[in-house]
Amino acid sequence: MRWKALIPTVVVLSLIGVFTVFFLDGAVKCALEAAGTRMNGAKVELDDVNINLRKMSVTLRGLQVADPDSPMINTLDVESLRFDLAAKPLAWKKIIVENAEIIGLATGTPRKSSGAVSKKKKPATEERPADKDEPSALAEKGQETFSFAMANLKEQYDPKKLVQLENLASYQKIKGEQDRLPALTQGWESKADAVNLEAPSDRVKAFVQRVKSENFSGAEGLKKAKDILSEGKKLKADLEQTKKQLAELKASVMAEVSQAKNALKEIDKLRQQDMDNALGQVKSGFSAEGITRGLIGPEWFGKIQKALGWFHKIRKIIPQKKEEETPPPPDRRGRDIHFPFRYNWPAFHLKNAGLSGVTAGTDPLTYKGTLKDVTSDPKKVGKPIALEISGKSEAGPQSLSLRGEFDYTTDTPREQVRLRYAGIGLADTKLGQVGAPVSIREGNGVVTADLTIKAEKIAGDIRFEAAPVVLEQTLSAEQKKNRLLQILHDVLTTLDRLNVTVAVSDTLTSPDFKLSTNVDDAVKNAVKQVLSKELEELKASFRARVSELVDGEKQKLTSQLDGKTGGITDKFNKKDQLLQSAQGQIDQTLEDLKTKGQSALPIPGTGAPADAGESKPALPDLKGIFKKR
Amino acid sequence: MITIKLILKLINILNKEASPRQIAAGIALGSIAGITPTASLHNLPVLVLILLLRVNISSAFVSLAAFSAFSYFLDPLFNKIGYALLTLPALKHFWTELYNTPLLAWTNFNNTLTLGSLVFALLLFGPLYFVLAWAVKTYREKFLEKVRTWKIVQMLKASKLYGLYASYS
Repeated sequence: MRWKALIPTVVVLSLIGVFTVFFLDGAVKCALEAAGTRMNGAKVELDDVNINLRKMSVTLRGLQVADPDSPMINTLDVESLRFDLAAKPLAWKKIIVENAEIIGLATGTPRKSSGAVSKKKKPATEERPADKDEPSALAEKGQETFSFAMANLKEQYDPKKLVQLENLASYQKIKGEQDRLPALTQGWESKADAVNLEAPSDRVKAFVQRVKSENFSGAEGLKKAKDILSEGKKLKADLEQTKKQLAELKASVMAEVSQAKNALKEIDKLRQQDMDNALGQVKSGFSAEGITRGLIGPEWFGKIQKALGWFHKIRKIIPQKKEEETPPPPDRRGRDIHFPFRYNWPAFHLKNAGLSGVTAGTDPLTYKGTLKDVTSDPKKVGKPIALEISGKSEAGPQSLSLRGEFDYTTDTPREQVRLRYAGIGLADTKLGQVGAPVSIREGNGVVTADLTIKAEKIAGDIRFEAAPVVLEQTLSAEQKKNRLLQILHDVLTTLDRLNVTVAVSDTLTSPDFKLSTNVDDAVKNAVKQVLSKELEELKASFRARVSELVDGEKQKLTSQLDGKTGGITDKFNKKDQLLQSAQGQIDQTLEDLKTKGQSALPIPGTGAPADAGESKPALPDLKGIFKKR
Repeated sequence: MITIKLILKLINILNKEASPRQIAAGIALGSIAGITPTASLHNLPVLVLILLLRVNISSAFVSLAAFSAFSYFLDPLFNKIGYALLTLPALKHFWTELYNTPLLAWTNFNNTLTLGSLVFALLLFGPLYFVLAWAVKTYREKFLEKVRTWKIVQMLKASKLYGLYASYS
């Protein structure tokens, strides 16, 4: 034992104690600022931290949380925060705040210096599109739609630019059919040529010739007649067979011809579709919604999107699910393993906090409220985070009521927010661009919102009503010459009421906004007056363009098809006639043979004259050989 | 510069200053603080022991620095040891009792890296002490004279830095 070292050791330990007492405040301040900045992505600063170990309270003063997107603005500015901690849980490293008082809560306050910090580049998957990109993207989309709606119709929707051959399904079909036609007709020709009628025809001619030149007398004549007759019958059967084949082939070729002709009907349908598509471009591009989006979109969609970004931030801070039991990762920090704990304390629990502050804007409103059950383990606490804020201006008409419930006690997170903010001074509020910038000259507004988010699904609506309201728009001399702009200007500047409803749906990450306003109807009517004639002309020119491109080619295809099918039908008809003629010849020859035979051969029972020199009876097997079967 | 100073200090300690056991104890205690996360609460009694016991303080701090660097590469192993111990069914009751004991939560014993490295350091402590004590003794008896004749040692001793160090030590 080094007894001499006892005193220095005590001194060292005392120094550690003294440091804790005197410098703990500064150390905690630095730690909070560093951790906050890291989480926020922009500076988090504190004027002062005071830890009172006797009273177990922590007081933070002058908290400023910079907006990562606008570093010269504070997202949150709090005058002071006092937390009364429960002593016992601290022995287990659990921070349980029994009561808290948050005074002078403000948002959107200007900063004296920039709150930007050099950022480490995050992996692409960590970037939430809803955090930054989407507000501007939506705003741009609104502006773009408006520009589309406002542009000179004839230039914007030039049929020659929009209707291109390669985009027309009907034209593509015609080309396909034209390419297919030579192979198809060649197939038909081959099928027709496959039926050989020359050989049967020659056989018929030879047979007829032979019958004419033959003489039938006596028993030998009978035998010869019998042979010729059976040969004639066989020839007739062969001709029947050939005729049947020809009929089948003709039917199959005619079915293909009919199919080819059906393609022409299909082309007509596609042509109609092409027409509808082309006209649809005009319809979708030019709508009153485009103008409304241009007017309200850039301002409001950005704000809504930013507000929704807060849900992401809250979800990020409060863990939703417990870590699964997986083997420890080989990292430099290790992993905490938790065991059954006798107290139901989470690592952090803010039980109850009183809030007070002022709203941002030209007419600030003082409000008060409570925030309850903010915790690092909502499932353990079993209560949702509850936020309630209300305030009413003593002098002005403003009033605010906000109620939010953030429930992370189950595996499916659920947030519900209800807001009503009335008496918002709207003077000099900038709206979007409708040819020229539009702003509200005077008026008061009410915003009500009712949003529910369950897991990723979001539903609800945000309403904005301003009445009475006066809108202002200054057009340049050049813009005044534009009929549409002038009409819009008149509509907007005579509006005395502005109602906007934004229906929010789809998912939190990629929400869908449906906008409806009373501006729509007013604008629609005004625009209709100005543009209905131009729109009709435009539609007619689209029709003409499609016809110009498709009709000529279709006509060509029809002629080609008619020519080819006519030729093939003729070919089949000729072959049919040839067969019929050969069959006729056979029938006639057989008839002649019968007549000739009956008169020349002694066949009992047939009435034919018997040969005088012959005493032998006729052969019984020749009986009835001339009978038609 | 700090590295050279540490080497010089180590040479000096090995050559003459403290007894082999004091050096070995200093290194073994320093290894605990070096192997485990330095800012842990269990290192406070280790520090007190270094100050109070007759161990070589310099060797303890040299050991702390050296083992801190060395343990970085063994973190995955410490994680595995800690995880295996903390999830061992037979020890569950024991860990639960510790977990429910006031103030022990501040030691981070339920962290896989902290527990794994602490157990590793404690297991290493005994063998390290005896092996080092024997090694220092053997070195002094058998190799010290030879080492002194090495050119590199003579060069180091002849350097201004060594002179400066010797004058202050």
